[in-house]
Amino acid sequence: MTRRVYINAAGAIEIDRHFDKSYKALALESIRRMEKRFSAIEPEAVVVSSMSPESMGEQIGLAGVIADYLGLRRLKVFRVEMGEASGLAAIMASYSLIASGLVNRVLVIGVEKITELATSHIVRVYSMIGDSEYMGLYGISPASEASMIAKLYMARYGYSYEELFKWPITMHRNAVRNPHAQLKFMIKADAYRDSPIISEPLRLLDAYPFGDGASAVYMSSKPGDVAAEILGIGSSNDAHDAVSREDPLFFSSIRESFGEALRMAGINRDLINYLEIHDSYTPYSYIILESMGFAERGEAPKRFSPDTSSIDRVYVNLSGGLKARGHPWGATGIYQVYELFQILVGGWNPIGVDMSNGYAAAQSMNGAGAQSYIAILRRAR
Amino acid sequence: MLALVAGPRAGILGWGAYIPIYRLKVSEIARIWGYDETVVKSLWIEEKAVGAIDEDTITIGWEASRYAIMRAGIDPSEIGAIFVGTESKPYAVKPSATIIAEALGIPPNKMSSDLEFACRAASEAMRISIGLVASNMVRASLVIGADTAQASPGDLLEFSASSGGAAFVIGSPKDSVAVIEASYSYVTDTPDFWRREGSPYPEHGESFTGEPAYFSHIINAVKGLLEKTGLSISDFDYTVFHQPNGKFPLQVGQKLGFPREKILPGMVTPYTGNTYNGSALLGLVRILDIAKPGSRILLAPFGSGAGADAFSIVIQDRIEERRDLAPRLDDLINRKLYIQYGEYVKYRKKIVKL
Repeated sequence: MTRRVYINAAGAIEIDRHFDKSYKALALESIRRMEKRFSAIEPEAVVVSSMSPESMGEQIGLAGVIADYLGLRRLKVFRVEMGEASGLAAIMASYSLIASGLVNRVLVIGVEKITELATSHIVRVYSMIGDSEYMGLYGISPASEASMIAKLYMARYGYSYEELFKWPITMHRNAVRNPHAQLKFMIKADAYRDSPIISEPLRLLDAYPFGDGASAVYMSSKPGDVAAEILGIGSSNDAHDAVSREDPLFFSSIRESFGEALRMAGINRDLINYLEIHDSYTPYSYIILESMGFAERGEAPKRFSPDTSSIDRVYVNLSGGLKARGHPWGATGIYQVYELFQILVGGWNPIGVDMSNGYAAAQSMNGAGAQSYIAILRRAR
Repeated sequence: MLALVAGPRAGILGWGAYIPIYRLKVSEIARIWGYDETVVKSLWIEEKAVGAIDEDTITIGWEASRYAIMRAGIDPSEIGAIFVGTESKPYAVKPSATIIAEALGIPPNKMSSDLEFACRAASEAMRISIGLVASNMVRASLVIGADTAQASPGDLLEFSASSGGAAFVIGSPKDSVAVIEASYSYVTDTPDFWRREGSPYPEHGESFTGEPAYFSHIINAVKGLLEKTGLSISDFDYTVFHQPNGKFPLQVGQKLGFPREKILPGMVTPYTGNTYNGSALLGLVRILDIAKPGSRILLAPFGSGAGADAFSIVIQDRIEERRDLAPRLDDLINRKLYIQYGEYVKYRKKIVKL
């Protein structure tokens, strides 16, 4: 019998170009934000989620370095890395630590320092999320993989580029209401005209921005006065690249991990009313929603309502998503959980709809659905 | 005449510019390297001046100085100091200023050196000259800002890095065409753009060159000047900022609250590229070519590394009679021959015959 796992506190800093802050300084700042609301942080384990501190910060064993910097000793430290999905993978690992009874309290920190080096270096490191020998070597970057998927999606389902562009517009509008978002500005319907092509047909405004960030959550086996409970958590993988799959336009790892999380939570999909998804590139947003079953294949662009940022009565990415909140790689999944926590127990209500008594889910993945993680949260009762 | 703010001051006796005849359209650079046209459009640079194979900072500096001395109406022997602000010295060791001085006929009893501070060394030379003139150490000082700026082929910098320069004779405000009534500097250690010893091309921190470097330093320098003088933005008729591209000056102007119409007359980079030490100073030249007596100009050069200066300059009556003593900047901008990328890489010695 596993134990129940709660999130007692969460904090995050604004995603930005933090030129004056290192991995350590970013991590510390996220803890400070959390401490403003919650003082009793006494972890038995520190789990750090970070995608590439080796390449971006010349640091191995980051979890140990950060724990020491925070003045935390005599505890268990781990770094979790599963590419872009590292954040939710770290939540899953931390969940296991508590559920198994190994420890009672875990401090999870997602941190990434991306903008220190030249864009060419950043892109080279980011491209390592793909199979380096099979894709990276031949110049297939995550952006070019996304562009091939976009082309196929448009051709098979008969969409124009302009029809898909409503996603970035909605995300930018949502980000304006999110205090920790990186791109807090609106874009116009034809903004893509001035946006350079990064990999035809995708333009800069179809991709997430590079930014530094850190987010932290404190998890334990006790709900305390107020907490969110992790009701379900699931994970699955697939062929590492999309083109080696039966259907590149459907991410099975998402369907499977979502099914697993729903079964664990003992609920069906209809009960979810808030969702944060991994929209690293415009076409992925629609494919994720379809793979989670919120729309039939090829239907998400029609079903997604930009006015309410919702699909099938589920509000999606009120944070602005990876597109506009930002995507500091290993920290992103922790940002998503922070946002769920804020909606459920933190009093964050960006659109005037109280969702604090509902079910919220965070979906994270690496690349084009190579690995997927999904967590379902609800206010503890 | 406009009442001037108090303080030790100097004036501009004469001004000159030089732009090489060759032009390369930036669309040609974009074509060669496969840049999307939106990248080119966003920078607002149409074409850039390319120094010929026999032109360098010294020849450019000499040409601009010749025009400045012609307008100043003084004998070269009256010049007691000559400073060359450049980041493309033809000799790593050996001053450019001495060569230019000798070619202009400036006698040996003079101060003379090259200054380096990325794009703002000549601006600092101007402040040094104000001090030399105001203290009566020298009667006139020649300030030259000239560059044949380098950019790694294919780098975004290649759209802007160009060749050209400006020169000013600084002397007593009494004889001047424009009084420099006040100036202010703001300098920090900010590594936004650099070229290591022995490296042919500079490196830069991409967007880091913007917010914490260009914008922060110019804004602080301008605010410092306004505070020091008690002047306000509406007191200025023209504003000239450093022009790494066409976009940044308009953006920093907007942040400071300067209307576009006060910035546009001093814009040069869209038509010549960024001449580095010549950049903001050529903007000042363009204003000196057209502004009415009594006009007040805010000049704010910037150099990576990083620093910015702010000057308040007031045009005097006698400017009208000096203007046509040498070619105006627009004459030099419009005197042009288009070349292709192949000629450009040859002229700028990016390809060499073995």
